[in-house]
Amino acid sequence: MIGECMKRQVVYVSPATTVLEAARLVVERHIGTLPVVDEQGVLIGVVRLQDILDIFLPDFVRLMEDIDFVHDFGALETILPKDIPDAARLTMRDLMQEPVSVEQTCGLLRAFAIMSKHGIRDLPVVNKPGALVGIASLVDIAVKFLATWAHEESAS
Amino acid sequence: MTGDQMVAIIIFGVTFVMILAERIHRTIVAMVGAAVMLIAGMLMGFYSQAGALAAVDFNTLGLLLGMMILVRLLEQTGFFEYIAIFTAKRVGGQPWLLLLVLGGATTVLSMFLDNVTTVVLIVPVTILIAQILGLSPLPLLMAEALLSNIGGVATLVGDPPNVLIGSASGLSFAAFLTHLGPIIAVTWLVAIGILRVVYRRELAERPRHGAALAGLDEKEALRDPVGVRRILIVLAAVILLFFLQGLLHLQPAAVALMGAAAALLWVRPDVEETLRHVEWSVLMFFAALFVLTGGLAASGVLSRLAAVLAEPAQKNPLAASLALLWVAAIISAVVDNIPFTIAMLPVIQELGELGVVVLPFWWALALGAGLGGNGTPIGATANVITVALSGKTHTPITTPLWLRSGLPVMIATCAVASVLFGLIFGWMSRP
Repeated sequence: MIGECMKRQVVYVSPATTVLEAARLVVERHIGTLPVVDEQGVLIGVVRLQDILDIFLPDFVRLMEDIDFVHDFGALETILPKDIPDAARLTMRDLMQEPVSVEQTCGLLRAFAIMSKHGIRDLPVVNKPGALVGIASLVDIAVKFLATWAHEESAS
Repeated sequence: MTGDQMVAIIIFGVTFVMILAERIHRTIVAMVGAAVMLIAGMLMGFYSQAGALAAVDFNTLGLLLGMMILVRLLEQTGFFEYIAIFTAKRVGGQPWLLLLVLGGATTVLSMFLDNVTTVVLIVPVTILIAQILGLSPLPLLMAEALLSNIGGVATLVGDPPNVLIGSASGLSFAAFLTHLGPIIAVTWLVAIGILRVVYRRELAERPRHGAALAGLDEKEALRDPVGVRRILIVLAAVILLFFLQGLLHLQPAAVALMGAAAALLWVRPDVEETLRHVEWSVLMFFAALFVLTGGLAASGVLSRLAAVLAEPAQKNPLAASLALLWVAAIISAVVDNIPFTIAMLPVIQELGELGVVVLPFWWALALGAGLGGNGTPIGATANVITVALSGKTHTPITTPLWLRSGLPVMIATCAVASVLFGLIFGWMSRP
């Protein structure tokens, strides 16, 4: 079950957290997914690293099907986050996506299948009322899941 | 007026207003309108299923379908990106020269291919070029949208109103090019001049990072170099056959569909996938409007209208042509130009049957419907697409930004086209 391998100390943010504060959390804690919870602790959204970095993605990358032939980003390459003053003011409410979450009793295979379907690498875990209780990364699940195999291998 | 005619006018009018209101998708509105027209016509005896079928112009639908298939095949190859990067690299990063070559390429592509597809593919790569150079994309995007609409007026296949007019009038591909081509060439220069003046500040910018263009590899952008050669050969053959239309007695629809068949055979794409990208909703919209307008014609309303218009049209054909040009221009600036064009076709045909020389009216309708679309961001589908794409960037084209160059271009090109129309009126009245 996922409850056995998830991390219980979760770094989370509120909808009013700014991108600047979130960036600081990402840099200090080295994490890739920020669950967004309301005052009651209920999970209401998820901000992935990708959502934050997308702010800095050049417009044409979103519009073009293929950008492999662009070898030099030219004038864009010199733009740093600090050059985009408006970006710092965005809040988690602006960036967050609909959360995908499971309950603690969720099986490992189901948890992995859900992550695989949604293309996510961290899966928030909630209790019955929807409050955030933990988070499991792909590595957490894989370690638990593959452990049986690895042990068998070393035994034989 | 008879009861039939009243009913037909009401059904047509309500459908027309609902299409323009855009609360419900235009294709759904047109299909429902066509169904109601047919039912009412059958109950009252002025319209039949056979009549509705006969009202559908399969030449228009076939031509659009054939060109849609060809353009879809070309679209996948990366050809448009190749053209944009190739031309941009030749002129370096100078904004004014970029505007000329990218606008020029868009014009030529729009003369033979669907404007919307051209813009959908050219605009993103233009944003890319402007951004890596550190330039404002606005003048380039406006030039592409405006010039694609202008270029489309020059040929029979350039934009949907021309396809409709070509089919209804029986005028040839060559006739379009020889009558509308010269006027469009001059209005093109006028539009370029206006863009130059309106965007003089942006066009004087120096690229912050001129060297970045060298880092774009146009050959790498060409995803399917073999496919692109084959499709271009087929397209060239199709255009050649368009020119020989009179000689070979081949309808444009037949040529376009033969071209599509040849390209499909030669390129061998996933045909299900290719056909999924055909704009079926556009084709259904046209078909439904044909049935709707057919009911109006069958009730006798349009021949009455033609009878009323016949006298002034005969007395002063130049004034009547110019009036049509400006009415078409203003209508297509504020609303979709297709319903108006489709409704005008039978009226002009009726006028022809009454003995009026209708040739200048066809050209006036094409010029007005095409050039008028530049006036507002919703005037033509290419505009809507350009605005929508720029809306996904940090520098969206807002309505005031559009009006700054779009409206002057619309008014000036229509005015210049009117003057030229008057000067060569003799030529415009001869096939």
